[in-house]
Amino acid sequence: MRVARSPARLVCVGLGSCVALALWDSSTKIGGMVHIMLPDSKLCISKSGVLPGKYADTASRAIIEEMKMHGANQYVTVAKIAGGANMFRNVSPDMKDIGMENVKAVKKSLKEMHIRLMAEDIGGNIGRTVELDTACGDLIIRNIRGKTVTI
Amino acid sequence: MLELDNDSIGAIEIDALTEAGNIGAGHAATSLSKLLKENVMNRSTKSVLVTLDRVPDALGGADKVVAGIYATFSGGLQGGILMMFPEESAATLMRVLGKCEIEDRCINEFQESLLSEVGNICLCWYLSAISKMTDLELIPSVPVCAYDMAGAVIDLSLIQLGKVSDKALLILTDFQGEINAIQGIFLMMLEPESQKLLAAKLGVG
Repeated sequence: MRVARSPARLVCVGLGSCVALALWDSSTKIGGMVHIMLPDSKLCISKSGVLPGKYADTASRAIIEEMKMHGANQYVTVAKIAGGANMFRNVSPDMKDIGMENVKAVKKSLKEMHIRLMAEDIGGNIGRTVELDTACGDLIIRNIRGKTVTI
Repeated sequence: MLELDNDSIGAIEIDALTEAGNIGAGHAATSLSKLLKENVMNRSTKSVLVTLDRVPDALGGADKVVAGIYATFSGGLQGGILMMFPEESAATLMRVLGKCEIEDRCINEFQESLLSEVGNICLCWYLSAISKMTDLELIPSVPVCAYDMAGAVIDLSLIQLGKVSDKALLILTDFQGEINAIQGIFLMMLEPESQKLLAAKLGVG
């Protein structure tokens, strides 16, 4: 989980079923990105407690709070998401859906926080490396086959 | 509920699990030697305890292209095992065993099936060695295969582990062939309860 100000770029390398949530405030050009693994912090049965960046519900809140601490304005902050792929074609059904569950959970949290989802590049069966340009709010997505998409 | 934290695992337990990984990978390397008709040897085995977000770095970088073959296992121990061949080694396997090349970093159905099968043989040898050592029955799932960035290939297994722990004990073995410079990495991840059970079975729990 990281927050930065223009002209910095935030990068998440090698996303499979995980989801990268990128938030960007156009007024202050503060951006934040978090690498989410699991949909719900209620799934946590670790004794050491919840690591906020890991779960969609806690990560979305933690990242916006962190951005606000640096001076970002939640009301003009927008979101873009990428990831949630299914990397293994023949994997058992309970594992197959984890990517999409992550995506669903992130969307739900964004709705609760009244943050608009501007764009998404999700699903499929390919890994992604994503980069948030805090100068313009572009989210650049690359894969190993040399394809680059900007959303 | 039992202790569900990796923090409580001690150095002696880690040593014992490393040795189990070493023996497992030794058997797998032998099976690969037979497939490739050349000598494939273990180079090193180490175990590291890292937080989940550090796992791709511990494996050489999230952006490195690999062929990953993954299976879960149940029975006496619960966990997952991932075998990764770096891009060049996957290409070698294709040339030697499949008489073909991987084009545009995209594997076709035949190549996926070939990689899965090589992985399956190695993983089963690995698990059966551990099973024999410990007298625990291990039942592997059907292996699945992906060819992509290491970070993307491994995150599903980390998600499975992430439900019970924030840290992963990685038992890493890499091996190398004499002629074709085949390299591979095994990564065994046990659920915390199973780590303890395995260590106990090895006499150090």
